[in-house]
Amino acid sequence: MIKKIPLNKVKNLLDDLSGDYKVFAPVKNGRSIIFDEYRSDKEVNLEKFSVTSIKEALFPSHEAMIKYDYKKDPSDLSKTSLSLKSEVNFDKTVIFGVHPCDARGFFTFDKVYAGNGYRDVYYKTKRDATAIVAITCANPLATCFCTTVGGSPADSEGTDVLLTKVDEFYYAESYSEKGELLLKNSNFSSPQGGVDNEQVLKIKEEAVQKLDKNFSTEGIENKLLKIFSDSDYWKNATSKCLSCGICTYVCPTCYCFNITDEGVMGRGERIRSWDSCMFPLFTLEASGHNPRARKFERYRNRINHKFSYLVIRNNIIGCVGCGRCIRHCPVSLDIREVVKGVID
Amino acid sequence: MDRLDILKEKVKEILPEVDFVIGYSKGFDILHPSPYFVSEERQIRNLIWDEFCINNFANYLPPPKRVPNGLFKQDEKIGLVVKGCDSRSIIQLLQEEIIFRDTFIILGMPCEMKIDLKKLREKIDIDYIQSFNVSGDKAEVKTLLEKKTINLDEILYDKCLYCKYPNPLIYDYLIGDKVNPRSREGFYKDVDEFEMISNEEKISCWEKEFDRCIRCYACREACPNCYCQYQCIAQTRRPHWISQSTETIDKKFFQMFRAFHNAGRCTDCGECDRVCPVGIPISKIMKKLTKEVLRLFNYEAGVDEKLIPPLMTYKREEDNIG
Ligand code: SF4
Ligand code: SF4
Ligand code: SF4
Ligand code: SF4
Ligand code: SF4
Repeated sequence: MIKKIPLNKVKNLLDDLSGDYKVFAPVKNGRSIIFDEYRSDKEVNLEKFSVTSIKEALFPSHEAMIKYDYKKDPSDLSKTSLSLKSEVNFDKTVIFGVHPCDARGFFTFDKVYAGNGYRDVYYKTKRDATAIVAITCANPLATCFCTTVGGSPADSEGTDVLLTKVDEFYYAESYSEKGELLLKNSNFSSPQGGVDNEQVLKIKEEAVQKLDKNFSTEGIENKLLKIFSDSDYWKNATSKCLSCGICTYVCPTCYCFNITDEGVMGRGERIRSWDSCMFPLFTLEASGHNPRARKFERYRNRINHKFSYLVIRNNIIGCVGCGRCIRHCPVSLDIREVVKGVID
Repeated sequence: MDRLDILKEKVKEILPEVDFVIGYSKGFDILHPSPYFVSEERQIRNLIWDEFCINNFANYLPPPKRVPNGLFKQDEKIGLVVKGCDSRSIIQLLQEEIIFRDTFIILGMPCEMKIDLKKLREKIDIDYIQSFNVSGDKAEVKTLLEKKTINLDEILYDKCLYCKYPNPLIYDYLIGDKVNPRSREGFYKDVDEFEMISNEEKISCWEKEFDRCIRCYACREACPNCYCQYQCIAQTRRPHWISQSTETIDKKFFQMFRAFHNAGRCTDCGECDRVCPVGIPISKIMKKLTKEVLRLFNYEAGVDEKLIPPLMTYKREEDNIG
């Protein structure tokens, strides 16, 4: 199904949708564009590239897994009772205005949290209740490399609706039942004739052509294993890294979390919150030993995880080429250069 | 000779004495130079020096952060390119006796100005940058989509607009001629204005800002003074002073104690603010502290190695605290 919506009706659409769904969209917050829950008073920006990815919607930066409450028996203080509560979020959700790479990011989550082995109920429940509306990136950035890792700026994989901007309209193509349902909204109308279709195609093709392939990922998983012990390579490539959490936290595929109990006086929540393999604490053992004490070891893990371990175990490259980790890195460490260095 | 050429010659000269020299090289676009570790002569030609070379390399000096291993090696000697403001971080770290003067060589760069990308972004969509040329007090900026002439004063970092110490205060070699300092008058303007609003407004302002913090700790990791790493109380479980959640209150609390741990130590280098991926104006918090330290102790951090920072010592009667 293909429909169209005037640019100035998008706000109406979002207001309508937020009646039935929890809606996430790129909104202006201070000086930045971030993905956040949509509210009518927030300014949506569909033109710029958001700092944060959409993973927050399905994999919140922190979420309660269990609520716990220890209670003393007032008549016998040696006795304590414990009550546990676990709630899993079921809200129907629409993620609106994402880049096609972001939508693909959930494929990595799917393999790990909703694949054949482990099934993560917190993630999977939300994933099933979520529809994704992506937008063709007509002007990819210098840091984008989705086509190198199997995606494209006009990629419809992983999206329920793909919007493409033509003049004063977004053309909307649906790719699933969830998508068809969204297009039933009255702000969409049916385009006339076949001319529009051609324009949409043209814009998509042009977008794809704007990106060069940076490297070939053929056999990358084994090349990485081979170079694993070449400490000099890794040191040279990563000595400038600051071991912060930016690259992992803005990445649409990084899925690691920490689990902590946060409460006072026997009452609180067991939460999971984002964690980063770039932090020394990530692998610090109780003994004090740290298998990845040095930052080249940590960065090497990040690359290997994405381009080798996930490929070998789950047959997927854990990087969608969104370029966020390059754009926002305080030392401009370029993941493409590090991977290219392995291939050469 | 141009400053960059002098730098390259100096790097070549000292390279045999050190394991590597940290300078700047080209990053993914012209606005984002990247720290560059020169250990071989052939790398020297990749060094650059322009108004975007901003990283404070003093941050690589404290033992827990030392490169390339992230582990301190006693016998490793390094060289580093140091701007005027960065030199204050080095002095601060020397005062704290966390770094040792004989383990590094300072190539001091007198520095005219650096461009604040967050300010530039408000003027023009820098994601599509093509060229940036300075002529006089203006910059010609060209992107894929447009071309603009912008006054430099509108896009310099605040610290550069009011730069009192453009020439390194400590160095082994000075690279090229010194430049003229600017007046500090007005540096605290934004803080002065902020002080005027009500407490409720202040609280709600910071709540709005920290709402979008992603708790990446980049502000901490980019700060030369924050070298506790995972022993930072933002992450320790014992003491368990702060939740790992990303509730605004926890994120705000983290930044507030990070600020207080920097009281009397912060040199207003602005790295915490620069690296914040979501553009939280952390500088404003830090400037409030440096302003108070100046008022209470008549002290500026990282200016004179021989002084004892006011919060590293004790006086029975403080002059300005009653
Ligand atoms: S964002 Fe950059 S500096 Fe921070 S951990 Fe990642 S690579 Fe290192
Ligand atoms: S590794 Fe970097 S480029 Fe790849 S998906 Fe993550 S943030 Fe994007
Ligand atoms: S750098 Fe910014 S987003 Fe990251 S922890 Fe600091 S304030 Fe929060
Ligand atoms: S707190 Fe910020 S401005 Fe102060 S020294 Fe640290 S990084 Fe620099
Ligand atoms: S905030 Fe305080 S505890 Fe944390 S690293 Fe900085 S100085 Fe250390």
